Amino acid sequence: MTTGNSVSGDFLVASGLTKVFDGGIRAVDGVDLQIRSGEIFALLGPNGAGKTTTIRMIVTLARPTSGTVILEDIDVVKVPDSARERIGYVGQEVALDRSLTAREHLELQAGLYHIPPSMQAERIGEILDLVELTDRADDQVRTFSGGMKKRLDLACGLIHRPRLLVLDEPTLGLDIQTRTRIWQFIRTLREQGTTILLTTHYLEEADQLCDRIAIMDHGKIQTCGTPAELKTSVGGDVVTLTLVEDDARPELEQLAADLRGLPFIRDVVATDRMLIYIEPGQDSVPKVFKSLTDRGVHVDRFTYSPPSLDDVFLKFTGHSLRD
Amino acid sequence: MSDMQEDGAAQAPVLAIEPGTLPAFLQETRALTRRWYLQTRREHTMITFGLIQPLLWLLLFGNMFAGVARWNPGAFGTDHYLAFQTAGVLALTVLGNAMMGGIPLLFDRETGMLSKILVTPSFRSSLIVSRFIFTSVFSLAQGALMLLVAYFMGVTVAGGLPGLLIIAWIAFLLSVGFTVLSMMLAFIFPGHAAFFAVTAFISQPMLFLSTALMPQNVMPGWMGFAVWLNPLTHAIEAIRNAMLGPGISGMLVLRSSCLLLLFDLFIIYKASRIIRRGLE
Ligand SMILES: Nc1ncnc2c1ncn2[C@@H]1O[C@H](COP(=O)(O)OP(=O)(O)OP(=O)(O)O)[C@@H](O)[C@H]1O
Ligand SMILES: [Mg+2]
Repeated sequence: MTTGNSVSGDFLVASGLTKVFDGGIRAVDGVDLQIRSGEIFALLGPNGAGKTTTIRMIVTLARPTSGTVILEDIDVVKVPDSARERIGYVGQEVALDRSLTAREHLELQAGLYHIPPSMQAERIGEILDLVELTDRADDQVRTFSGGMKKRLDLACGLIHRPRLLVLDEPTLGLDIQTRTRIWQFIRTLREQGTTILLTTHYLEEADQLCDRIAIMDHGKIQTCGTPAELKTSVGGDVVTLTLVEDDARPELEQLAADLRGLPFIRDVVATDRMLIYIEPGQDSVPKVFKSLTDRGVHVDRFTYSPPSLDDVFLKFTGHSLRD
Repeated sequence: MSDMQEDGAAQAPVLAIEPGTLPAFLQETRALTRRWYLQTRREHTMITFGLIQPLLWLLLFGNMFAGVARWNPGAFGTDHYLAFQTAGVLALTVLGNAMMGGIPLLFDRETGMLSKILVTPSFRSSLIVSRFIFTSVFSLAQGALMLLVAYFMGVTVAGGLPGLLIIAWIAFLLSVGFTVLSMMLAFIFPGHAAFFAVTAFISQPMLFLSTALMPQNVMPGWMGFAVWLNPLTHAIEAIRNAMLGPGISGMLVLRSSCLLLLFDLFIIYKASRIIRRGLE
């Protein structure tokens, strides 16, 4: 874990955050997060990991069963209204009123966020420009495409220039072009000093665009760090093997346990494929093959690569996010 | 001193609106009420049917039962059935609008718009108050239109201006209780199907167990207690008195007001916890 020692540099600190739903489901189980000012921080995890529930507690929509959330100097749970002024939130699902126009949505938001009437027109114009909806500003949302709705939804969270922008799956279900555009907005906002907390399923996105990532599964943070740190933590390079089906070959689990004992192998994860994390060095790969041949195992296909975030994911959660 | 500051500033500083203050509350309520207005204005079918339905009541039932009052003017208090029935249709319209008061909240819950509103630093009460304002003004406009139509059909308000004020006051009391009830139901049920089933289930017997269409003294005796328990009856009786006379009965207005007020307080008491939890 790379929590850093700069407690004062933390913008948002969640400690022991826990949510138990009425049915007894522990959706979030003792989550600790430290988000620094001005960074893009991603919560990465499979369906049902507890990302949305964590986010809903941070944005004051759900009351934690236990734990605290401190935003700068504000206790988010105790003084939600002060926190709400500083937080912009865009939910996982687009939440719009079909019969209102884009501009009317922003006017409603402006009213609820207490933007003085004299400033509203200018502010709304800026935001419409940012999300590139100026030419459709006065059309009802029922005539919008999915991507336009998503952009408007995003715009609604920006009207009060929040210091912390919280986005739950901002690019889910969008085509590549719209995803790229959304990411441009996010970067622009970060350059303007906004801190961003988001959730995503897309490993590449998290890898390329986020400063730090927390991997979440079963309501817990499994690991946290920069993409580079996380990949280094996997250690060495990765050989991914598909083995020839053969009655004589040992069970995968047993083979994995066996291989783990070898000095040039750091770790082995066996699912339908076999992932072997090897020590850096010239001769590790030939050695892997030799040990497999010695055990009567035949390799059908293999890839050799530096670790990806998916490898990190697999290592810390025991399953791949791609499956 | 403040003058000097204003003169000195190159640009007039924009006054910030502090959350949690009265100006903030007014701004929020205004923004939300405007939304209800825009939303409704664009739902042409809803407006059209909302306006046509009470007129149909007047025209259809008014003619169907026209003879009844003539045979028994003593029971109806008039020989003009339409005049008798206008009070009932007015109250029914108010009831219908109030029962729809929670619907936008229901849909907002389903679409996530409610979350969007709840993450803002706004008063939760501004949402509730905005629904009241919108529903009341809508009912008022509809009621005025109905009275106008009834006027052209020969029905006048015997109570004159005081009568009109009494009608508005009673309609308001009726509206409050049922709008709160509707909002409570919007937070109780998981989806809109159950909501519509239950509101219909509540509204139908309320209509028939009231004096909207028939005076109580032509109903079978066993219905009497149910009719008396029905808040709609008390609203109708006071409105009818204002419309038909003879003379406004202060006692009747007072009794209806008190009973409706009691009903409103009871509903508010029952609903406030549920609504507050729904808006957490
Ligand atoms: N209101 C609720 N009542 C009961 N259980 C809930 C509720 N909301 C979420 N859960 C449960 O909590 C767990 C975590 O859900 P959550 O929505 O936080 O996951 P997620 O990581 O956002 O998933 P996804 O990637 O699918 O959006 C799930 O098991 C879910 O069923
Ligand atoms: Mg989610």
